[in-house]
Amino acid sequence: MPPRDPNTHRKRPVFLDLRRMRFPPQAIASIAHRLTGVLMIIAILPATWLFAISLSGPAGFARADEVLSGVPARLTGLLLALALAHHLFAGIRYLLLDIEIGITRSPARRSALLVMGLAVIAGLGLWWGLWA
Amino acid sequence: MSGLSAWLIQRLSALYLAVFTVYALVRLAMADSWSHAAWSDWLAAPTNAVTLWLAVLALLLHAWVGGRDVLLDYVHPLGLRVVMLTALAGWLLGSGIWFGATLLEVM
Repeated sequence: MPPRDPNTHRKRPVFLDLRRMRFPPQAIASIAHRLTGVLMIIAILPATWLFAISLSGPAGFARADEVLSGVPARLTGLLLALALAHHLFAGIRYLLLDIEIGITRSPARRSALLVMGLAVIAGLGLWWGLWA
Repeated sequence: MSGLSAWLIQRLSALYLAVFTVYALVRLAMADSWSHAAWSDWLAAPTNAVTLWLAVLALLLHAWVGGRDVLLDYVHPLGLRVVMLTALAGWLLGSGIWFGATLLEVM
């Protein structure tokens, strides 16, 4: 019988204090990719409703226009524009990582930061283009 | 749908959606103003209708694979997991059918 490895009997440390944990940009980009995806899944049905009433006739089109011009839709639109921009850039980053471009730690860190910067700029630009 | 086929569908749909979304949103943002007639005519044009059908198909597949991954990762009790996966499928299928019925009428 081999000697017992003392490591297997040691209690592993558990550290799950979310206020004191510091996530690297790669981890933040990853969880944001999931969050933005979930947000957009939630938006699919309301978007389909808007699409349906906008095509139901001139009155329905005016109703859709009115809904989209309201403050709640503008705020939701801003959130979704930022979500879409982040999801798109982070997704492109994952496709590049799939083919091993930027796979090592330092480029992966920089590209995660780049994704977040681009997402804010493109998201605001998209929102401006659609609503302003 | 699981394993390699889900992995592949997620990436193919991502590529299509990336191109289509940028095209559609730039097109929408550039338009000066829309009327009901202009909007229906634009959607009834064959190229726009076909690319939109494909985009909705890609979106629903992409949302299913992604949403399913998130639920499998975070929702562990089996009953709740089944309920949430069913709700997700219903949410996406319902949207897809409603969208399809709407677009068929315009075409």
